[in-house]
Amino acid sequence: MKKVYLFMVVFLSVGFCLLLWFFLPALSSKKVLRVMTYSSFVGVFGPGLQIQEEFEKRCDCRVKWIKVPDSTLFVQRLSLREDGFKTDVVMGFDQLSLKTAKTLKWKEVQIGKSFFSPAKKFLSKNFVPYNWSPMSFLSRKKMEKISLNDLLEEKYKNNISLPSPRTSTVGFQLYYWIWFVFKEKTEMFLKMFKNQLYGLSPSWSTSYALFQRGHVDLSFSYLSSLLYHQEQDQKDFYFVPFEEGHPFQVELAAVSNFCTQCDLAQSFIHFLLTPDVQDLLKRRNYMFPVAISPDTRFAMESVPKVDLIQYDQLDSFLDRKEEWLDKWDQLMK
Amino acid sequence: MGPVNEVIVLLRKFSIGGVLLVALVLFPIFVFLFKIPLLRFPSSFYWFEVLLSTLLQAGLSAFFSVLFGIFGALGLCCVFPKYVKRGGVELFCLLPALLPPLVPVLAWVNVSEFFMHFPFSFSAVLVVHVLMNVGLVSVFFSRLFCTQTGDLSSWAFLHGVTRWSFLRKILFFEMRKDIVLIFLLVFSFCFTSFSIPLLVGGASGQTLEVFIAEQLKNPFTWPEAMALFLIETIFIFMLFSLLYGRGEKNVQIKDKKKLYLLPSLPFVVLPLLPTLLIFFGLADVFSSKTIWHDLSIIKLSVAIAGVQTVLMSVGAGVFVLFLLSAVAFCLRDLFLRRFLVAYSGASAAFMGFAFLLIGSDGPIEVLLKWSLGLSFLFLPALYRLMGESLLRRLKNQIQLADLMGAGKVMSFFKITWPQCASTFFFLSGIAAFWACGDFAYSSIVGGELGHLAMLIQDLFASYRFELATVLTWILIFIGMFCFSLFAGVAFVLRKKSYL
Repeated sequence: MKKVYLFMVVFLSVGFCLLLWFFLPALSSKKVLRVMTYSSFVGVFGPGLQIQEEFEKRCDCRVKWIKVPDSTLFVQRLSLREDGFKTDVVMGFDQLSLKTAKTLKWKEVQIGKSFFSPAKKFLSKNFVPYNWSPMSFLSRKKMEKISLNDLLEEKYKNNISLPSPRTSTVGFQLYYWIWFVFKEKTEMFLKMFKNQLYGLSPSWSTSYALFQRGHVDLSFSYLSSLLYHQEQDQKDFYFVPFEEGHPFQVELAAVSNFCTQCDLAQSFIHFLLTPDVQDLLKRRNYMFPVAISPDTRFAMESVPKVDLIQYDQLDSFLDRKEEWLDKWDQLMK
Repeated sequence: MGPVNEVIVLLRKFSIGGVLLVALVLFPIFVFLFKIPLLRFPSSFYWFEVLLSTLLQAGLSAFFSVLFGIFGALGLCCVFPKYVKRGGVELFCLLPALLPPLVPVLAWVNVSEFFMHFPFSFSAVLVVHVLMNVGLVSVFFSRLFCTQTGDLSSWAFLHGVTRWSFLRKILFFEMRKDIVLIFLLVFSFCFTSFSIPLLVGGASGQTLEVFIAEQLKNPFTWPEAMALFLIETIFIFMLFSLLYGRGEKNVQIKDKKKLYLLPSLPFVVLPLLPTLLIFFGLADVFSSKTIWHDLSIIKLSVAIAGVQTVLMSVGAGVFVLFLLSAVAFCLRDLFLRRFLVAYSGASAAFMGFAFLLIGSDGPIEVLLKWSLGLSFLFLPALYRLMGESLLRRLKNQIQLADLMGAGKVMSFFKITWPQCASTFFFLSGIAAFWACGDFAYSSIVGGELGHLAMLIQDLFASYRFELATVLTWILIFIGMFCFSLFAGVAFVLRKKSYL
């Protein structure tokens, strides 16, 4: 028995030493900037850790990430405690989550940059775009321009993967696109579209994995996903152009009203728009830059040439969000 | 005895320690009741449809698990004592139930691709639940069949009873209470399952747990989430209170006997198949050429996440050990024991948000919250699995010790602990194994830290599906390591039995 207890004491002591080793940085006296974002942004292949390293060199501070499983949870997380977890910056909102985000208070951010036009529309005194991408279905073979109605053809039956609009912002973008195009005929289209689906997965990543592994011909994703495939030298991935125009996702950052390092938070947001970070976001977050850089690295010509849909009717869609989502669940059962 | 008298008896037997333990386990409800003073039902009746769908899903999952489990048990009875050592076969069958849900889900998605079958649906949830539980149910039934009906089997065999008559009139009749109990155990597991319906449910496989988590996303719908959570908890509580009490019986431990009449070796495929499918489903990723290169890039992150996983899992195991020991210390408290049997456990989302509301999010606090929260989540299931039957068997010994004037502390250290320690360490090992694959709860509490299951989720979101699957193998090895730490102590304690 003594050996067993000795083993347990040694094991727990080693664990305690490891804890100390890991967490010593947390004891430093530098200012701490707390940035809330979705977890994959700070993952091993995401841009977060490199941004952190570069910003810490400039600010003589420590960036602390508050990882949230997905971007739909930001507002909930901030509302959970009176101090909003002392969050300084939130990054990862998109156009469709702005309405919910605006239920909280945000600090004003002064930005003197020039933005590419799709992102510029969503720049406000509180919310600053930092990357964007048009969205559509991606295919394994080059396709001519088609319409959404063409997706109902027999050859696409059980051949399309989608993320659920209830659990994924990408899925919700698709839903808005369908609603924008079909309006009162949305339900009718969805009833027929249901038969074309191979899977309605909980997240964009699972849906796209099905496409990557060759089980479906089409998957709803970003045009900028092609940046990943180019990097990996995978040539058989194509963006499908649509007659109706394309939805697009603009990711936005904001300075929280709960901030304790508000000046640092402002400089962090400015830092996100510097050419180096914009380039990093393109390479590691696989999204397009939003800021036109003075060194012409990102000029107007680099904006992908695709027709985009308007987001001016967004409010009337979002006003009935829960109703639409319930309807989706009913129709897809 | 009527229900009112039963409640009075229960209340008379409660202790301060028991009440504190109940309060501890119910802590997320208290935190949320403090935050949300009002309860409100969702405006549309969609939640009721989800409730019915969850009931159907849990009922069918439990039915098929028990059905296949019974036949699988007959196959397992055949393995003993004829072929290989039974312990190894049983562990192999139990593996899907021990593995974190993420692993069978990944394997199922990979395997289902061979059949070109739609993997995200109500039926996918059903299949994954059955895959996870059939081995566990088979092992339980095989032990019961061999110990409880082994004698009858040889007697029936000698008297020329047909297989069907034996199955119907002896096995099913004699075992009906055990069948109900195991059905309830699997039902409650499937009813409150969160990760599996979330990952493979799609639109048709949504369960009440997932729906509650959806309501929790929006601060304006927290009262609805709370109301639904209470409905779910009360439903399971009533189901167990009504059926478990009637189903319970004192199991007499007898020697294992071979079943002469029924066993049929081919049925052993049923409990073995899920484990084989899991290995098969996770094996194909190694063929990718870029995997080893990608793995070398992230080796440091994997190592750090691996250490955090070990710390979290061992922590969860240690907390479960303490909690089980505390329950054993209060074993005279019938109210506490009945409560733990009937309580379904808080949902992962509720537990996560409750822990977010307290304390800070420093690394040490987060690690402690991970371990403590997971131990609260796993405690009711683990207690139902083996804890209650073990403590029930000690009832007479404790009564005798009380009569002879032994104090609570003395009874605990001289009677209860020596007989329970081995099982408690084993259950803590299971908790550690489960903990290492959790992401539903720990990603909510997250903060700055990230363990291996969270890293796997991130890799999915970064286009690296195959690399994520490779890390799942590492996750299995870490889980086995954590499990073996506790199981090893359990083995030593069993060998050095005080009895």
